[in-house]
Amino acid sequence: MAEKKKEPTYEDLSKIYTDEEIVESFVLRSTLSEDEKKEAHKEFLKFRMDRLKNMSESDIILSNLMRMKIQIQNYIEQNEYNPRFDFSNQLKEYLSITKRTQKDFSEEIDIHPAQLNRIIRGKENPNVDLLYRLEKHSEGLLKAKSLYRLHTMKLESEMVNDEESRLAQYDRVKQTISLAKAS
Amino acid sequence: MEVTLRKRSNNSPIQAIIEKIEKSDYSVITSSDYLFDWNLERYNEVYKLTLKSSMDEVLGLISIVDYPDEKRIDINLLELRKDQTGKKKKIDSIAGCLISFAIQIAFEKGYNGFVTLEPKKQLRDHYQRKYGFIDAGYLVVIDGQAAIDLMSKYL
Repeated sequence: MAEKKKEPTYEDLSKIYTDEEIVESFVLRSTLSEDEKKEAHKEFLKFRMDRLKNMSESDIILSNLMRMKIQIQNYIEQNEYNPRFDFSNQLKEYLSITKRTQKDFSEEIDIHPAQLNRIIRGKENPNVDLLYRLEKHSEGLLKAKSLYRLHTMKLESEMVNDEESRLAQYDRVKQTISLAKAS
Repeated sequence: MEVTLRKRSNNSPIQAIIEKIEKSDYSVITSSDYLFDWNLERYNEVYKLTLKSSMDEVLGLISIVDYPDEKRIDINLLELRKDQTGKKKKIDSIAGCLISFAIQIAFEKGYNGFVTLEPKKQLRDHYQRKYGFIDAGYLVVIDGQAAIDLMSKYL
């Protein structure tokens, strides 16, 4: 059986490092016993529940927009198409988080309400001007570039899966470059 | 995710990656590089920070625990590789990046970036000054705007 590794305590580390250096390199495991932790946790839970209860409307909006922003970032990084992240769906989510009607929002960003409605229903593609305006409206939290990527990921997915158009266009090609096949 | 660190010698940028640890990584996390037994963290979520140019070298590790009922992410253990600690360290901000990464997870889960850690009492003020944590009984915590500020600084 492998011998249990002797781990350093704060006191051990403080012989080698200053406190600032410890904080820049470590977070140590808890050393409280289960009973000590249980007692201390009661006080902490009260703190946590109060913290949640005392969040202002603006705190909640900011928190939800941060969640949205990070989920979009992760989605783009994973680069795997998911309709949930279509621009139209994310715009709907944005209006829901910021508690705005389509009418309010269309006035705030100076877009015709009918056009906004078509974009939200996925009947019209977003243009770059709208993405800039949404970036400004969200005070820079949602970047126009990321929003544009949501749109292009959808276009890519549609293009890759549109076999009918592919074959129709293939049929119109009269001559290829005729590369010799490698033997 | 990709992050930018700075070399201490000339402040030049250096690209790094933070990602979930794989089973095979435990064989390279040896006691010659790390003081703590990271095998004990196998059942938690553990993330590693590696340089983009040398992804088999693990420069830092963070182990977190999700408490969904309390809407918080707890940092159970964080450690940098020995040659990145104290006066020997060659690269700045590794710990700040790993803590900010935990905050990012806490935002993603809808916890308002609420992250906790249990400091030794001698270190409590230092975690507050260095990263912006505040007192919450036996833990220190960060969330909301302070959490966003820390993420903006390090990620």
